Amino acid sequence: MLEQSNLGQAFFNSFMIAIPATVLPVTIGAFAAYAFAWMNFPGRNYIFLALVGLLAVPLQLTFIPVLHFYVQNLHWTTDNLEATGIPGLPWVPLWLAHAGYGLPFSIYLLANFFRALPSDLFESAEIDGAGTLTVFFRLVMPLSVPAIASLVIFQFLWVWNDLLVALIYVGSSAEVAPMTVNLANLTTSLGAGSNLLTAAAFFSMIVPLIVFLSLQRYFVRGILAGSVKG
Amino acid sequence: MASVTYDHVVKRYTADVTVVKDFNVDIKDKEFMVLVGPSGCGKSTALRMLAGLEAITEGKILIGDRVVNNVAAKDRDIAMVFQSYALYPHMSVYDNMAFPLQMAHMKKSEIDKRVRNASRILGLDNFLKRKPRALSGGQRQRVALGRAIVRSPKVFLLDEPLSNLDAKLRGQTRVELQKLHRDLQTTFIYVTHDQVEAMTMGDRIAIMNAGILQQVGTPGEIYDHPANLFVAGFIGTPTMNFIPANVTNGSAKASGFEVKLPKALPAGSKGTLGFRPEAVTDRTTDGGTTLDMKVDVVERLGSDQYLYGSVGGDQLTARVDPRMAVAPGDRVRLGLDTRGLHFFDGESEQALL
Amino acid sequence: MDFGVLLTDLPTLVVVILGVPALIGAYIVGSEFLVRRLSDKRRPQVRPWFWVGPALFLVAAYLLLPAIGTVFQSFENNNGNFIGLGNYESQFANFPTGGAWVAIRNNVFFWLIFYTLFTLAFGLILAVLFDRVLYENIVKSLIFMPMAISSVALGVIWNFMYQYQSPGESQLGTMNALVTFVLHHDPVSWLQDQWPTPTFNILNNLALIGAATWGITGFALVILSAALKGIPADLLEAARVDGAGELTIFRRVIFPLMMPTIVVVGTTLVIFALKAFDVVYVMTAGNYGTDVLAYRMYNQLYTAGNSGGASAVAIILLIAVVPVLIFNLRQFRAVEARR
Repeated sequence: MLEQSNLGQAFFNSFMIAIPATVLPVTIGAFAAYAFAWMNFPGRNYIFLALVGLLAVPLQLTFIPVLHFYVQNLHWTTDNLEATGIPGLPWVPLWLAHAGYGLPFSIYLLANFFRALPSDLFESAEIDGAGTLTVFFRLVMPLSVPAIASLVIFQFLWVWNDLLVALIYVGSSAEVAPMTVNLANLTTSLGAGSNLLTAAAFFSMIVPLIVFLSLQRYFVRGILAGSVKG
Repeated sequence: MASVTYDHVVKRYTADVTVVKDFNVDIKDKEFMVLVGPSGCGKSTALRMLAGLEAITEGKILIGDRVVNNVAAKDRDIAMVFQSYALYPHMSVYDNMAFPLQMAHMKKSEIDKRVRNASRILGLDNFLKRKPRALSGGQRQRVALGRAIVRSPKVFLLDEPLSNLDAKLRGQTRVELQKLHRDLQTTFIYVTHDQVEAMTMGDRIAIMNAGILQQVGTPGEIYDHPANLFVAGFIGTPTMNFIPANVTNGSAKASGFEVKLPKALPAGSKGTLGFRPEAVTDRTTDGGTTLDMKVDVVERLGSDQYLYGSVGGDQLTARVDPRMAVAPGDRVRLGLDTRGLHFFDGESEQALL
Repeated sequence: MDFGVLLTDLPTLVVVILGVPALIGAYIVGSEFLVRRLSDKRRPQVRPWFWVGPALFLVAAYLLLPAIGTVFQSFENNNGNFIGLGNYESQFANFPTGGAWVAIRNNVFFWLIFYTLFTLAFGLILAVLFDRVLYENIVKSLIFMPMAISSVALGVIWNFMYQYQSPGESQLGTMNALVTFVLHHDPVSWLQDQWPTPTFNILNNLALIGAATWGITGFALVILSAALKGIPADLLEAARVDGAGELTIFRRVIFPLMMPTIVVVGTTLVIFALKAFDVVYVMTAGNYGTDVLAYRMYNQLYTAGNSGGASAVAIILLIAVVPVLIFNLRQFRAVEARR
């Protein structure tokens, strides 16, 4: 029974989805947040305001056109991508989608955190002769560990636990579907109460709990500096 | 080691917000120059333009003979100590001091030599592995100095480096900084709002107010010959006595007394008579000016005794012998030493005397 | 159990884990390399666009442009022909039980009010109570844990809680065990029973909302208790010295000072309430009058194959969110103005 359920495959798929879908929005968001916080460019404040606005836009609004574009223009269907034989490729559409959806929050949280870093540090580094990359990787990143950690928790939990986006973009075929889809299928097909369901639910919970417990000491500091300041 | 020249420097943020106006100073090689003024007077901006942290709107800044207007901060051969110290919180003391040298791609052995040398000078040898948060305020301040020293820059810039220290430590560090200046034989430019720091440390002082340079001179010159009403009021504690007065027949007439001026001023001038509290003493001389003061408050400091009260309709402060017995409400006769007399024009506020 | 795949596919995972960050790192280092070749004047003009470029591209591609596309699509039928308000007419047909009406009622009435209020109330009460408890962090982690599990797993757990056996049988579900054993009442079919009336079935909706609230309370608790910690102790002491009782202090000092945070948490919860999907999908599949907009949109698209209708539902959802969106922007501007 457990073999039929593809639990192991789904567990693996969840990792294949969640790790890049966390790394992408956090890193790309960090670059953008740094620019929003410490660089000057025309339209900066308006673009940032637009991102804040997008935080509240329901994702449901975007599914149909994106899916349409994937299938009609790019031919990125799960079957086509699997047919290429390149491992990992079938999940690329989902990674990019999660990155796009996660970015507004990622930028919002990190930009607020970066902006709160004392400007003296940046000026001192400038006099010391540090370039933009050095300042970013040797100053901003190490100082922002709490914010980054809490963002990683948020994004990882969100992606790992996501059902809707995965259902829409990769569907429920066993080779690519994550734990949540697998679990939801079990609930609807077998009904509650089976041992399998309990086992699957346990496996789907164990990873986010580990991530949460190992990073939680940063968590409060991170979200506070970002969202509830002032 | 280099001189620094501000040549008609202007800093303007918007058309009507000008924070530094036509600023001209020559700072000599190896000089300890203090920029002093109330907060918001433009002194920090003047320093930050020299550091390369703010663009110069008009004019030129020279380090040595080189115009640095378009030189990047890191290439100006300067080092800066920030008010907040700006220590990198995630790096050890050693790494904090090594950072600018690493940025200059210096050899590891040379970096090590310089950092150890600086830490020896500053007495930081035992703290090299610590992070800034495990240091006391005074130690942090010394790390900030160390980070500047290791670069052996031509010019040291210090932006209110003592204002985060407690009073006692500030006094000690003042002395240490002067010693450091002597040992390093480098130009120091020091920004502060504290006139005591300015008077005690500066070879020369430049006083600014509202973006305008008021006066440049040695502490003695500035104390004894303030160029205008602002400088006179800013330097010295307790502040100089200012009494509105009119000039008639070579003497100045205030509401409660009249004093013969040591130098003739055009009759009919209106303005402010100024004299420091120490010019008003309990020693009266024959034929000298005497003031009849009604004492409101007596302040005994041990070595000094200050009397606050009124003469005629004007408030003034006197410094008298600490053994003189006075109580609030008393009327006392005090002598005014006319050698320390100043007179400021009512319109221009410039010193006429 | 086929955990063997974990081993056979492991190389792929490793390549992905190392490859994705390497790619991103190469991008930023490479772009900086290009920027450095520009003149001193051009550099600060060009650099920011390299840093924000990928983010803006992804946000535009996945959020902004598709959202605009959906607006257009909601006026078209499935063949792409313009049909005016046709999709909306069918969504708004047959009040109060036809079209999208049930989903609208559940979202903007039941979910919005009860989910937000329950979560805020629990979060606030727990934050104030835990502030005075030993081992505060351990207790808080426990409450926060549901946040870490997926709504699907949450649905599974609460399905157990709400399980129903016929009267007289032993009740396996926790809720019904309580109802029969403590209240001596017949077991209740929590998720199916449209009590009190099919047009106002508050009971099964509250059952779903309760499960969702359990999952999110930890989030509200953590943020609210951090705000509580941010209130200076002097202030509370001053109030105590002034003779205020603990309840008065909460009402007149703590509560007003926490208001900004409560507003932030509240608006976030409102958005969550409007976007609710997973719990409904897993526990009732929108049956028994528990449909919500997000689920209806999904259903229209995949079960009914009606993309125009799905778009119209998505737009209805957007319209419900717009007031929150405007409020959010105002709040943000106000905070920015104070900087």
